[in-house]
Amino acid sequence: MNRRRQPQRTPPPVTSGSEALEGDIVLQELEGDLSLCLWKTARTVRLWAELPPELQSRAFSPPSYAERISQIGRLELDADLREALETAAEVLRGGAGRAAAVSDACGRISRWAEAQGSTGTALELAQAAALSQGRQAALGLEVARIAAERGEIARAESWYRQAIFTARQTRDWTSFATAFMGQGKLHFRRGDATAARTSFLRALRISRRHSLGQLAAEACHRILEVAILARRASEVDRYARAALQAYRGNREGLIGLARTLALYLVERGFHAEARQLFQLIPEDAGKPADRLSRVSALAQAGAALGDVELYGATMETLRALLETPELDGSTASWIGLLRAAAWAADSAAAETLEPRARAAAEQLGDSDALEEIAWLADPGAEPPDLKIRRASASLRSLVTDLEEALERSARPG
Amino acid sequence: MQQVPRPLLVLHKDPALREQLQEIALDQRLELAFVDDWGTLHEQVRSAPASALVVVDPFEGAPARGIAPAEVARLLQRFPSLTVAAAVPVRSGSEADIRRLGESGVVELIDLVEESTPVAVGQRLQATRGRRLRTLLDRALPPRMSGLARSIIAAATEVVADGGQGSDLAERMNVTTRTLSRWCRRAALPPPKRLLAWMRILAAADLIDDPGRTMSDVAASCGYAADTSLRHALRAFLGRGPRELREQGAFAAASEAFVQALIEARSSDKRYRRKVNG
Repeated sequence: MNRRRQPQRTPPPVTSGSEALEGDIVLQELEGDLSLCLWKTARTVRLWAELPPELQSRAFSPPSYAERISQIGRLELDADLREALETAAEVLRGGAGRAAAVSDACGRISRWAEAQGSTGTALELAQAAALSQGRQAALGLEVARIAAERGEIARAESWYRQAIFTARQTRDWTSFATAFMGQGKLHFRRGDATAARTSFLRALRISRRHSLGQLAAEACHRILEVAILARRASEVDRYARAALQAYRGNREGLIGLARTLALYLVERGFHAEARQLFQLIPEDAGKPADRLSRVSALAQAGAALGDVELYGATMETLRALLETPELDGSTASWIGLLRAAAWAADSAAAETLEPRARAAAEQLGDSDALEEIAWLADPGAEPPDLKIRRASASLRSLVTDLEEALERSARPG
Repeated sequence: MQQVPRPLLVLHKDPALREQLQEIALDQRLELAFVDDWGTLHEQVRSAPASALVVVDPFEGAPARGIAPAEVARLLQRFPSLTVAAAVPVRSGSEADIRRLGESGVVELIDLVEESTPVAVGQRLQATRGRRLRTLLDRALPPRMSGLARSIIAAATEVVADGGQGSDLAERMNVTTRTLSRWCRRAALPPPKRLLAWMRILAAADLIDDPGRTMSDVAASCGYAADTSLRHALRAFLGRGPRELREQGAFAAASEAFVQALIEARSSDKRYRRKVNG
């Protein structure tokens, strides 16, 4: 049967937040004439991009271009940023046939702003880049990524959807799979395991179909995380193996996988296997929050298994880690450390850790966590139940395989 | 649904801008009126429909440039629901002025240095349509609301500002009404017609909170045939009349009821429930 192919459509992406004036954030993040120049750039490119092509050449009057160029000339800038601002200004003289160059220039300005820590400015410029080259899915992905990092979830979600739509049309399979992956991460962040799993499975299917090995590995890894969250034990083993196979020599990916699996093992009470895995993860791997989760899990394993040496060494590492400015560990990591301190009857550590754990839980408004923290930190309370279980043969063989893969990836060449 | 009147009140002495606004008014069918000072503008705004759009020179009558645009703030304090665009030459050192204008409630800025053509000015004025309601809703809606729902709501605020209907919303989004209905269902929103009815209620609630507005003015500005139709709609959607709403904070009450309606629509949609539960 011939199925008529219907044109696919998607709603326009969300292009603004709750700011009073368009592009307001640029003026809030930066100062002086540079901020004004960036604000004008973002606004004029967007105005130009949103016009029908036949009106674009009539959008601005010729003196505006000269005025902008002279404004840029008065700024003290590095050569690349200056060149990008001048290229983006070409919309002021019609910008005919220059959409790709203007979009590229906005992308460069966005990356510059992001490197300065001005993520709102980066978002505005990335959006201007994406709007002026509507057929480039990768540009939409960039907007979605920055919006997600800024916590603008609805905007990020709408740009991921836009990227999926454009990537499908232009057969850009890498962006297609990456957009599903990003969408899945957003659902995961919201705690919607079902929707996250669906998106990750789509990403996995696309990456496998188009031989995108590392994306397939990441998709398997993410499905593994969802399976852990949803307590689907059979999927944990299946997708951990699939990710292990797909990561091959990608050391960073393997370390991430080992961390995910080891945290799962700790949670299930498989402390011996968790210890085995965590000892393979370099102490300085990942962000401070990742390092804290490693220390938390190792401390639990050490305390649970009565490995005094491991517990002591972990607490030494923790002391150094606590010196890190703006250490933003997860509540689970802090609670894990408190649990380890309770098992090891280490009241001094519990006293030091309690305010940090409380602050993390209060920030999230997590009342259950606050209750648990109060109980764990109470020196008179009974220590929490200690379950030490032995992992299944299949899980143990997975740990061994991962161990071997990590060792192989550490070898030079 | 009645045609929404669209007056454009201008307090600006720039001859080029005035000429461009005349051209735009003809093109976008706006009822253009020029005023000479802030006092006259206050009078005109008081007698104009709440759907009026105002373009001002924020420094008109001020002793010097670079001082706080106090008159704009005063205008917006008196008529908080008014849609005001400021037209100023943005030059070195203007950042603080722009930020102050945004803080005082100006929704759009026309840069007279670079945006000096009818196309650019027209585009800026077009962008003011529904902007206030959209910003208010952005702040009132739950942060967990999906991007799909927000996209549809943003388009709906523009359509309501123009006095449009369900089919206009579909046209604005460049899809058939059937596709739009499907999107609304997927985004756990009410069907398009009902969604627009809610947007009108929310727009009216914002105007009810503005003490300078009469009920018949609010009704006409939101596309109701008469103030009795508006009262009837308010009772049907919010279970309260305008006086009661004004006392309690009409927009807060209406947005709360809208969020509640979204939750109910979501839990009663069997198709949605089936999809979520897998």
